[in-house]
Amino acid sequence: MVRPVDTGSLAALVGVAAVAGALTGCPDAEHDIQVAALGGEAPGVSPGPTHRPGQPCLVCHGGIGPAKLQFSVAGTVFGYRYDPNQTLQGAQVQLEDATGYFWHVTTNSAGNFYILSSDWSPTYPLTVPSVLDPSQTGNPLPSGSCGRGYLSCGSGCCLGQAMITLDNRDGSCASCHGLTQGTDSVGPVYVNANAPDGG
Amino acid sequence: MLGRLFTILVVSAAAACAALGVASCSIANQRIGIEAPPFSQASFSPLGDYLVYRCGTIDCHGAPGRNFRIWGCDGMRLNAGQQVTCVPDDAGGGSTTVQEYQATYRSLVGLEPQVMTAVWSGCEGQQGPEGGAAYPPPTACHPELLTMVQKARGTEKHKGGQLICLTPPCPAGIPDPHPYDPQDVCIVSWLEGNVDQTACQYSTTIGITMVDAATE
Repeated sequence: MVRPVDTGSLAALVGVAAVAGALTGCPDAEHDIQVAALGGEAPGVSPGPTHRPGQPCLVCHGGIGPAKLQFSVAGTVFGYRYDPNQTLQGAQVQLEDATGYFWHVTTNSAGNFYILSSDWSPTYPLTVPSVLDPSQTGNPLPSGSCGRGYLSCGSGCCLGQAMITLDNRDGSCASCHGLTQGTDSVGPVYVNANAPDGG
Repeated sequence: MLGRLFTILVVSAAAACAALGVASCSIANQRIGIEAPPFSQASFSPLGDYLVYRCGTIDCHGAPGRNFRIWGCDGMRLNAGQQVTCVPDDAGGGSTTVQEYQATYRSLVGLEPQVMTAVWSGCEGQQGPEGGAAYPPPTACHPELLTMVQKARGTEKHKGGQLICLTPPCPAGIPDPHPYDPQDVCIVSWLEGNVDQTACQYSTTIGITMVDAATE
């Protein structure tokens, strides 16, 4: 004889399982792989604003965890295009979202910058009109515009770059700007297109 | 009597084997055909350039994990040794190659081959009053059948959000159509086999504010 299914008990069981899943969080294997791929902290560097320069910040700080502090946009600025070892402190990064709202941020001693998601949740796509090194200035050309490799800053010109493509949905600069330029990486964010030796 | 029966059986068996062989050969040689706007660099590059700009960045469809993949100099490159930059240099940078346009084309038309065939059959050759692409598309042309179009228009869930706005009010960050969205004109005109280069080129400027002309 086939016993009828107790639908009430079955519903209760499903409900308990759902609540348990919500409380414990469903595992995200893909995200776990991304976090693991970032490796451990550098020797002598504790988790904080100066850790992991050049890594995609929002993998951990994007709201899924494991970091509790959540960013909307974050990244690292380097001094030179082909040197991923020289980060740049004091670089000024200007961001503009699709609604025309601007945000300005300055990099710290590790070349890192970050914007808390509680401060700004931009509407994508984002653009980066300028990444400047205000310590390296140049005189405007006779025409009034800044020379190649320089952008307007204040009343003069500063060494810098402008991003000419869109950031369509990812707040981690390093998702596209990996440390090594290649078929799927633009290379690091930089302000000086020349090599450190001027070549 | 038995000999004749045996002969009939042998001949029948041979014929059956032959028929099976022919059938197997024809099935093995059958290919899935896709009817779509024909490829040429001239006809596809306007659309391809727009797709790379708006959709093909490395954080979106310029990634191998996507069903719809886009290749180009401002996004994912096709060949090892190429760099992600449109500026020709010794490091492997340079403009989008014809091979990359082809790869993007194949990804696009192969995404939904039967739907693409159906859309092309209704859109092919449609012309406007002055001989250019017909926009809005006539009733026989249904680009909205394609998931790619649905996602761009926001009628299908899309991680990149809505990109094209046909009728105001438009979501924040998407320009109102005046009177049409050039991005949609670009896509539809290509589906009609008469790509609107002006619309496609204009579409590659949406969203970018150049602060200074002196850039890399």
